Parts: sequence; structure tokens; C-alpha cells
Amino acid sequence: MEAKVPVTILTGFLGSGKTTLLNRILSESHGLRIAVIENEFGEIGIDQDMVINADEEVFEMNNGCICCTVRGDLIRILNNLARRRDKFDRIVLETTGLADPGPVAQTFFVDDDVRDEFNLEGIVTLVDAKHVEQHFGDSDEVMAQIAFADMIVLNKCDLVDDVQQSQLKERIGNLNKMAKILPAKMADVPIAKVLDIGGFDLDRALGINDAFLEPEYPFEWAGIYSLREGRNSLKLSKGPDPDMSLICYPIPDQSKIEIPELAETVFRFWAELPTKINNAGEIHPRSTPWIVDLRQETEISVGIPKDGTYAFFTQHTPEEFDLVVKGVNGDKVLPINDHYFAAGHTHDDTVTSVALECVGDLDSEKLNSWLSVLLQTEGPNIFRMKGILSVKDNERRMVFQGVHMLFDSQPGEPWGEEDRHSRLVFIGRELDQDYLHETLKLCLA
Amino acid sequence: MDGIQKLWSFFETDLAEAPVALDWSACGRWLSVINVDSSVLVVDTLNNTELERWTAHDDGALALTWHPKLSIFATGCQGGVVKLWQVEEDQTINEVSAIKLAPSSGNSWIELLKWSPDGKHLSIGNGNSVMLSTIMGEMSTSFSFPNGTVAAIDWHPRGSLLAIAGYGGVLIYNVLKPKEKPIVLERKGSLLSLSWSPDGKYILAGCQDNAVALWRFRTRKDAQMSGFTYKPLQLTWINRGKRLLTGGTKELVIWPFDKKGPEGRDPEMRSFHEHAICAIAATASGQVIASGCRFGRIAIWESAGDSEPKSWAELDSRVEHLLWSPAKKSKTLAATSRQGTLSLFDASGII
Repeated sequence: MEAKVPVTILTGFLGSGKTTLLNRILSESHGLRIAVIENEFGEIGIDQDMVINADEEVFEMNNGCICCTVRGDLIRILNNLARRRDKFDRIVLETTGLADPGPVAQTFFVDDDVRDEFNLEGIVTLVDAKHVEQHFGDSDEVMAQIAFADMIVLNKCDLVDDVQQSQLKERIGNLNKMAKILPAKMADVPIAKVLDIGGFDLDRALGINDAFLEPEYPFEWAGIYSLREGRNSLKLSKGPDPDMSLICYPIPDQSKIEIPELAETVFRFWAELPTKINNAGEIHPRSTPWIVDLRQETEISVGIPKDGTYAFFTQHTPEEFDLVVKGVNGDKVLPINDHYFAAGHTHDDTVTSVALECVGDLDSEKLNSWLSVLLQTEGPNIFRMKGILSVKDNERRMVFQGVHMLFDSQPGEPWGEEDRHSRLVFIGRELDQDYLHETLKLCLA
Repeated sequence: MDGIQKLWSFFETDLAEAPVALDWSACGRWLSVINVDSSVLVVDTLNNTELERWTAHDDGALALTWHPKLSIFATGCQGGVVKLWQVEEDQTINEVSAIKLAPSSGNSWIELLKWSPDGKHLSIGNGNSVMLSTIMGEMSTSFSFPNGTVAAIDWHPRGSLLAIAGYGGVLIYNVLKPKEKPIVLERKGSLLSLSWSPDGKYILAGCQDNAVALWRFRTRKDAQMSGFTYKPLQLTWINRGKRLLTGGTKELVIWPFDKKGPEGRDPEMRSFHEHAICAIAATASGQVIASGCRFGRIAIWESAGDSEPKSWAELDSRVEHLLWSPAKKSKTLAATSRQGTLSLFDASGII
């Protein structure tokens, strides 16, 4: 059997820069022969660039389920392209700005001929950093396009400041933790990165975002500093929020600094009653939080009782407040180590990402039943799902991915000597993480 | 297929591109194949020579069909052009006419070409409509299919009724009364292939959701045949319309259409293939069948009885088209493969 032709779906709201990126894909010399399917029906040239236009015919299947809508025009075009597969290396499929990516993606699962010949490698969503905020509330399409993405090109970043960009990243990250976010202006992202997403490679996706499977904490960042006894300081600029919580915490043994482990301890302290502090105040290491007034640029004192290692856990990332730690001599001190945590849900978006991890082998029958029930009941709410599963008596990883109620699985790399565990990601509306996690655990062999 | 005689091709040629359509002339002498790059090959099977190869269109090709009586065939492409070609008495091939159609709903692809049984009309599937052309290439009437792109067309065996299938069902127009509203046969989902039974009593459609939709034309009563693994696009009538042979699985399924029809009756199964069937052809009598699978294996068998295949043949890749010669007494089978090979087999020694 010949290898399947990889397909990248390019989506994004009107004016987000899809055409700019598409033109770059077509004009830059990357050594790949690319067939492009655009969003208006047209002609396939015989010898010239293969740019095919589609007609956006969304078809429901006979069972009437909206999850099984497909693009009839794409089936025809792709089946035609299957006869010309020696002419190109991959396909880029552009959707209209208002298109729901669901039917486009589902086409690659529903139609046998398409599934046999083509491999949906990834979905790239372009987001207009300047204007996307205004669409968050009133456009289901924008939410869906972000939720479906394997990669998000945050375009037009030159039109927003760092704080806005950071906030946008956080919000997009909340919607879709799985996607890699690439800031760009004029869609100037490396073409190779866009085309080689490795959409099904969950390990790789996890590698992109270390915070992916971590629990959500009320802090987004932690830095470990070596500080000397005396009056150090913490400089913070005026930020998007009027105040910010933080904890300064002493670390007794520097050799054992593992920030994610420390986070569990600090998380418990976070619930303690905080102390408000302003420009004239001083904080010191302790196990309760401080709330720093940030309505203006602030430099607060940090009283360090003795030379040693100290951690700062902050509610927001240091970039949002231009955080600088200064030593006793007033010089800037750099962290020995730092770590970014997954942002908590600070917005009311109903679209979320849920990551599940389960150590041990899953029973295949229980797993099938679980997935079957889950997809029947929650399918309409699930935009994307991906997973690498450890199934009992199976030496290889089971790699699965799906769209709404449709999913496909294939054997992955052998487990070998590695610890066997399963990891799944669901992106969808109103997903119940606890329920998903508890019911997945019932599938353990 | 151990122990069964293998059939070797007596004619084979490299098409250089993947074929998109294959058809015999009515007399069974000429065989035409059009490829994805619009290159056309006409083979003279009287002496098994290539009559001519040429590029028929500037765009990718999608369809080819021979006239049911004359030595004329039509080709259609993605640029909205239909051309009529004639094999002259001196064996030269000339372009008779070229029709450039205006895009229908933004779609200019000519995906379907089908002559009416009397040969007076060429029906042309073009986006959301089917247009009719005369043998001279003059456009006459247009019939719309509002639900989307026309996926299949078929003529009533006696001529004037034209069935059009696509998303949402079938519309049946009377070409003699083009202003009349069409008969509507609704079905949820997308219909992909269409076949009117030889007696005109049934209309069948292969569906995207792995089923065959069925209507009794007189009563409009509908039914469904399901259980297919893949899309059952192949709808082949055998035994003068008394039985229907379908693809869409590894098994060949033969449905009874004699007496009161297939409802409540078990179909017959033939398990000759290890992979999904993607092409089926029956001789004019419907007694000899060729079936081909996705991995290039062709089985040749008789519709009567349930014995093993009489012979088998093998192509270099997925079987794209199978078609028996319509010439009387001929047992020549034409086959194309996805990789671009045209092969002719002579089954006269075995059936």
C-alpha cells in the first residue's frame, strides 16, 4: 500500500490572513509539491499549479446526526486527486472564514475512499490577534476553529502589545490546550512548521506545551531565586489587572528543587487569607499569599532573613507585569529555574480542553464501551479528541483521534521498556473533567 | 483462487495516467479510455491496435461515453467543456463539436455524461443541473437539482424520463415536458450512483452511508438494502433485470428482483474476493460477470448456480473499470487499473 497523502486544513475567520499564508505556501521554495483546495469551485489544471476550488457542499448523513455532516464536494475532489497522487506530495485545504471545520475534518473519517488515500495531518487555524476578541462572544465559528486546531497562528501580533498578546494566548490556551500557538505578523511563520504539524502525534503535542497535563493552579508562573539576606525588591509595572496574588516561599534544600512538585505544596497555601500590600510595603517568605496593588508601577521590598533559595509563585506570568527581582545591591537577579503553569479558567468560555492521564493498561472491551457511550452522549460537544492509549495485551501504543462522534485508531510505537500509561485529550463544550477521568479509570484492566 | 484457470490479457497498453472513464462503441469495435490528464486512447479491437492517442481537453477529464448507435463519443472535463468525437469510415477521429457550458452554481465540472437510450439526447451533469444536448452539440433543455451537485443520472429504459440523483434524493424529469415539475423521491443523505431497472419498475441509488436506496417507480414506495461495508456504487442488473448485483463489500451480493421484489427475501452471496469490490460488469445477457477488487484481482464467473469462478485475472493495481464488449458473440473484457494500464481479456475459451 502506498503511504497516504498528508492533508493540512487551513482555517480562520475572515481577514485572519489565510490567503496571505496560502500565497506564501504556494510561492516559497520548500521543495514540496502541494495541491491546494480553495473554497470556491473551479478547475484543475493539468500542468500548472494544482489549485482546486471547492463548493462547500455540506451533507448530512442519513442518520441525521449533525456530527456526521461531511463535505460532498471535497469527497469528489479528493477522489479525483487520488488518481493524480503522483503529481503532488501533500494537500492544503483552505476553508472559508465562516466555515465550521467539523464537516471538513469529518470527511476524512466518514468516506472510505478518502480515508484510504488521505491522512488528515493537522488543522491550522489563523487568528487575527487584533480583532479576534470581538468575535469570541458572538461567533461559534471562531470558537470552533480554535477548538479544532492542532496549530494556531496568532497573526497580526504587530498590531497588539505584549500584554494583549499574552492575554490572548492565555484565552486561546484555555480553549485548546493541545494546539501549539505561533505568534506571527503577515502570517510569517515557517512553512515547514505549518505543514509538518504531526497532528496525530500526541507525544509531540505534549512536548510543545509542558503544562498540558498538569492540573490547573491559581498561579501561572514560578521562579526560583538565590537571594542574599537583607532587603531585596520586586519591581512590577502596571498590569492589565489592578492587583496580583503571589507567594514568596523558602526552599530549604536547593538540590531538590522540582517546581511542579513544589506547586502542590504552594497550592495548599494559596487558600490562606492573603495580605494586601502596596508600593510602600514589604513582603517576606511565608506560607500565605500576598496581594500586590498594581494600579501603578510598584516596587515592593522583599525581606530575606538569611542567604538561601526562594521561590516566587505569581498569579500571572512575569511578562504581563514586567516582573524584575532585584538583589540587596539593587542589581537584577535572574531565576535559577522557572516554570509556566497552565492558566486557570479565567473566562466564561464553555469550550475547554480536558486532558486525562491514567497509569496502567486499559481493558479493550471496557474502553470500547466507554468510548461508545461517551461519543453517543457527548459527541456533539466534542470537537476534537486525541489519545495515546495503553491497551492490555497490546505491545504497541494505540493512537486514536477523532472529530465529534467519529474516531479512528491505529497502532503506534511499541511500548518497549517504557512505563505504560494512557493519555487523552478532549476539546469541546461543557466537558466534565472529573466525570471523564473517573469513568476512564473504570476501564483499567 | 487455486486450481482456477488464470486468464492472461491478449492486449495491454500503458495509459501513462490514471483512467477516469472507459466505454465501448455500440458496435463493439472501438474502445475508448480517457485519463485524468484528458488524454484519450481509442483502440480498434478488430485488429487490436491503438487507433489514436490525443489530448481532448485543456483541463482534467471527468467523463466519456459512446453514443448507443453511432460511432460518436462524448468527453467532458473540469473546464465545463463537452466535446463530441466521431470515428470516420477511414478510421480517423474528428472533433464534431465542442460545447462550453456556463458554470452552474460556480461549478463548471462536467462529471456526468449519459446518452438517452434512443441516442437523441446527451445528458450532461454540470453542477446543480443536467443539460441536454443534441447529437449535433446543440443545447436544448436544462433540469435543475437544487439540493446540490448532481451525482448520478440515468434514463428510463424507454427513453423520455430522466432521473437525477444527489444529496437528498432523486428528481425525475420528463424531457418531453420539460416545464413539468419533476417527480421527487426523497431520501436523507447523499446519493452517489443511480440505476433504473431494465423493466423500468425500480429505481435504485447507491448511497454515501453504505446502503442502496430503492423505489418502486409506480407506487413511489421506498425501501433500503443495507449491510454494506463500503459505498455500494456498483448496481449491475443481471438476468434481464430479474436480479441485481451490488458491490460495497468483499462479497458479491445478488438481490432478487423477480416476483414481488427483494423485500423480505435473502440475497445470494458470492465470496470470490478477499478485498472490497470496486468494479462489476455483466455481459449483455447478464449471464457472465466480471468483478474486480481494490487490489487488482478480477474474478470471471457465471451468474447461474453458485459454483467457483471460471477464471481469474490480475491487474497491477486497483481495478478501476470493467466492461464487456457489446459485440454479438464477443467475450472480450476490457479492464483498466488505477496505475494506468488498459488490458483486454478473451474469455471465450472458458465460458
